[in-house]
Amino acid sequence: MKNKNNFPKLSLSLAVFKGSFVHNPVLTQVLGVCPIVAAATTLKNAAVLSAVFSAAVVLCELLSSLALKKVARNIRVCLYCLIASVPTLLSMSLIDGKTLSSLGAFLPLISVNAIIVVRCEKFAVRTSVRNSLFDSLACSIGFSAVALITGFLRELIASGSVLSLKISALPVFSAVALPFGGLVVLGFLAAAQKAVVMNRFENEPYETFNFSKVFQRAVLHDPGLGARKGKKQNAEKPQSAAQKKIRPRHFSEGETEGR
Amino acid sequence: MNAFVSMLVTALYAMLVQNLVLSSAYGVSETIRIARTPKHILMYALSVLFYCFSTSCGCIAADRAGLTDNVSLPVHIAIYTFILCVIYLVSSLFCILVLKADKKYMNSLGICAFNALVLSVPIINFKANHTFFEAVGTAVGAAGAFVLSVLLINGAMRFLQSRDIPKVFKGTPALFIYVSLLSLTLSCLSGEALFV
Amino acid sequence: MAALCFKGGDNLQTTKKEPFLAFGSPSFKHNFDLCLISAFLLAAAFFQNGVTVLLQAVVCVSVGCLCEYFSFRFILGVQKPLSDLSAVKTGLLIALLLPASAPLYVGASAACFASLVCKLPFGSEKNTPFVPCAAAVCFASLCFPQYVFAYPAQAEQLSSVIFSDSESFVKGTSLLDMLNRGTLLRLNTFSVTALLSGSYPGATGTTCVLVLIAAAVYLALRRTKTLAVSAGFLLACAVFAFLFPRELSGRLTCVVMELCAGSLLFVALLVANDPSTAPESTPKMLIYGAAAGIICMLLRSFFKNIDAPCLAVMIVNAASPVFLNREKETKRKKEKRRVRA
Repeated sequence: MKNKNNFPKLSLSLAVFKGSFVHNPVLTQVLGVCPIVAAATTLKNAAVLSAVFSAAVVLCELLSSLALKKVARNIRVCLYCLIASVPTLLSMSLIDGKTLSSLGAFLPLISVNAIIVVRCEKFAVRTSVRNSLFDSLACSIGFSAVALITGFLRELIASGSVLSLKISALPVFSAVALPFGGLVVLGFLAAAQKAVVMNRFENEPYETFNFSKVFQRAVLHDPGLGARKGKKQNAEKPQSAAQKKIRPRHFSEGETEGR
Repeated sequence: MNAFVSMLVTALYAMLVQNLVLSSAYGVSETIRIARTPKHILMYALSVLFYCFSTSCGCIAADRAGLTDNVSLPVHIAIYTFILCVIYLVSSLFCILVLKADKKYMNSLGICAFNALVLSVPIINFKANHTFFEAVGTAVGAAGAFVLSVLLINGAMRFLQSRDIPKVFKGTPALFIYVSLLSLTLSCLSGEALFV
Repeated sequence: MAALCFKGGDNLQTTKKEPFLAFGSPSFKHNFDLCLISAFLLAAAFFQNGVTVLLQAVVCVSVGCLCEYFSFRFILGVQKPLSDLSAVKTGLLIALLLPASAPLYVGASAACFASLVCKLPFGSEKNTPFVPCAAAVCFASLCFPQYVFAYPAQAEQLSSVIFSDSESFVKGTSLLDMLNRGTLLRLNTFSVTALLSGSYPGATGTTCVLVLIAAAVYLALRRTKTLAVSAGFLLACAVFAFLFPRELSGRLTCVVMELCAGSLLFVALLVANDPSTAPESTPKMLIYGAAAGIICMLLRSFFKNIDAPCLAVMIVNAASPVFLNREKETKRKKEKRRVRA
């Protein structure tokens, strides 16, 4: 179903499910890895990062979709950073000093998070406010889920406790709090996510490091992805000329992506 | 001479001992994405070096001019972010009007300017109380760390693509694990995060 | 008629049960050699440190084998994951690289790390980009530096130490500590007999120099293909120690001390020459080994509390995909074989 501007209209559940799980921005698109790997060392840190990121991405995508479509590209990129820095820097005055020091420089660095700039530039400014809202919700749910699981596991393994409550009597591995521990957890989470998607969904370009192909699907939210293994696939409708024009031309094989 | 030595030592520290990308995880996403096609690595490296250096200098100038005196930490960082935006705008206008750069290069300029690695350099300089030469060293070291990481991760991608990796781990899962082992290797040199 | 009653009856005569161990494979031969050498090193360590070293080895090997068996079998679907003895070899090498006073969970966690992080995501030991036991020891040294770099001077108190987190044992001064402190030594102030028999404090399998020399001879007699890596490693270390001695007692003494101190000799002979990470041609193996040796000596000069040989191997493993294009080498070899055929 399309609206009067010829943008494809997405349902909330489909957009959120695909955006947050199947095309998870961290595990599939390799965006926004930095704060999770370096700062999500405890569940509390992960929760703070998730809350701040969610506020930043929703605000940024909504404003981009509403007001920044006609703005020149170079100025737009700066505005994403400045808009995202508002909730980020506001939160720094609300958080207690201990949490702020454990988060280090990674809380203010959410304003230059790759997910925010890439999703705003490649999707939000080219689509409706409704779709941008759904996409921002999907990104925030996807990021938050990965951050919370990573924070929980790392806190449990590195200190044997969760939210300062001692749980495990097993030895603690303090080095897991370093970035390499976060990358190991992300690797296994990505493998688990891939196993589920491979079993239940076909036609996913997971075999290569061709992020642009994955990204193309994530940006356009290809409705053909809804087909599950073993079920009859819906015949894909031929694309109209307007839809073909919307497809960004520079997402071809071998080219790097830009912002 | 002392200033030069301190600049060199800081640069080597940021590049090898406390690699800002692999040990401290600043700008890991951009590094992995750029590592896929490193043929323009020189252009990316020079752009990252330019932004790190100019942002460092701009932020130090702001600190010395008293713009950041008696302000809270969020305002301090907001000023740094604003300086980075101004530098990006000026440089992008220069590239468009004087150098007549094409759209692809302008897209890449955005990646090089707005990433965690570039904005982390002035924050690190502020928190570690670096002198001007040490700040320049950190900027140079950040660019060097970026280049080193891109080369290593590109080698990782070529390695993984040529091997028979299990289907479940093929692609980003195996890449994350490989990068984690690279990070482990470099973390052994420093042990813990020392900058921030 | 009777055969046709069974399903797949046509295949009954031709199916043979495969042996549990892959005797014919080249990786099995290399792993078997290393397991044999490790057994002799364990025996030598048993005389110095008592039964605790055997217990550590059993724990490391059994945890490594269990992790590898269950993960490879149920996640990757590999039928016989332990057939090439790589899990046994990795467990033994990890146990030998840790001191006898390290609690049992240190070795167990390192063995677990080697199986689950270094081998499982890449499918097999042949595809691993980093030597698993070197990565595991680096992981253990990051998580538990207070146990990995503390060597016991006496064997009597160790049984109460390895079952707990206790650090109440007499710590000895290893050769590497003496070098790091710049203690003045002459040849007649340290005992060559003690050096050869492994009486100096250190990691379990790294102190008995006599067995390590015998291991080098054994590997040469077995025509180990990757021995050139060990040769390059040791030669580079010897030349570096000769040119930049850390001891004032003489360059030759310094060379002997540097080669015998720490885990350098052990890593050069048993870890660095892993066939899955070493290059294919002999000149490249020599360069690879020499690079690892130089990096090891540089790390020893600038950093004190790290396992320099293992870290040097990891650094060279990380850099080798950038400098060595192994895919081209393999393609070139296949082309040559096809032309000859």
